[in-house]
Amino acid sequence: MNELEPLPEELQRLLARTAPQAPLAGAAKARLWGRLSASAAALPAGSAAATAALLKWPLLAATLGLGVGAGVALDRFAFAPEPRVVVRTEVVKVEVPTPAPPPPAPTEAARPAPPRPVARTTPAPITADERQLIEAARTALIKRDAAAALNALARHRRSFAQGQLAEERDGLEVQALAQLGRRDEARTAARRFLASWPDSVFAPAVEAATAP
Amino acid sequence: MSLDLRAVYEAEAEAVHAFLSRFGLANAEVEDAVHDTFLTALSRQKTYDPARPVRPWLLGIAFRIAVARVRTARPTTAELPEQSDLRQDPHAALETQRARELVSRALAELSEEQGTVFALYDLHGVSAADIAASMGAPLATTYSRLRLARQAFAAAVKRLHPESP
Repeated sequence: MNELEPLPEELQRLLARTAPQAPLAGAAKARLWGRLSASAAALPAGSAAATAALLKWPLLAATLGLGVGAGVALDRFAFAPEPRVVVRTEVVKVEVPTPAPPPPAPTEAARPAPPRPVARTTPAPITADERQLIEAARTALIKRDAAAALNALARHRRSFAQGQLAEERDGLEVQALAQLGRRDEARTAARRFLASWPDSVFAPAVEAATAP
Repeated sequence: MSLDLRAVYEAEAEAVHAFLSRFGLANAEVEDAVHDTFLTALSRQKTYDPARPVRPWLLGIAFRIAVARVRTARPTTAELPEQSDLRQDPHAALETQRARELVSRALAELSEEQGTVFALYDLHGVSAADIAASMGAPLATTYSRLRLARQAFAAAVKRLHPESP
């Protein structure tokens, strides 16, 4: 017997009520692609398929979905893709082939330019303290408490000026300033961010935050 | 044979997103799940046979990811519809959310195989022939799995929500 009887009507009604209410919008699709391609680039080349074959699903998800839990609650404007550590390594390799850091931009009077990444073969570990400050800032942004976010970001800048998460810190700062309505400062910070991190995966979020 | 992630994403992102929207996850979680689906597909590309349709394979991955999230989800937030839903009729949005949670919790009680065929066929409308091709199983076997999956799903719904369906 190769024919299926129709699903009972009450189950059909139940399933129909779950229908999607909004399709994936073009902007969201593009933003997701940015995040996905960054994650894909961060997969260890060649080892991914072999790893996948060896691991069961939950382990695999835990291995690949780095930071999924942490990033879950981000609202669409405070979007920050993950995983950021490995992506950062890419930037280091491509953007700064020489070990000597370039001098800071002389025209930035308000605040010293964010430190340039320094080339190294393996990224330094991210300390729990550093991560915690960034997480606190991100959580505050989600709660629309931009002042608290700026406070956490300032503490990060003091303690981890050249930290592994400096790129994300600078991106979050733009979003926090924008959330507070400090548009001029947000735009200045955004220009500085894009100059320092031209290929950043956070660039779309920074641009969105300062869009007119 | 390597998977062209960009091409597959371009062609299938909407379908994967629509499929994952039905599990009662928050909007941001749906996007996370879409991301995880394609990333997992990339890492598992050796399990994909290019001669077979890509969508059932992708949705099978999406289903596992969605159910894993449903199983580990915090207690229901059905009283607080998503912000985007508030722009629509709040009553309808709440109904949708409750239906999604019931369906996804019932699906999470099914075996992986039964849950997958049910979600693909009855929830997303993938043809039985495509599901059979994707699973490398005869059509008759797929129909038989579907019948068993429907029975298990109906029983799970009854258990979780005795008053309705």
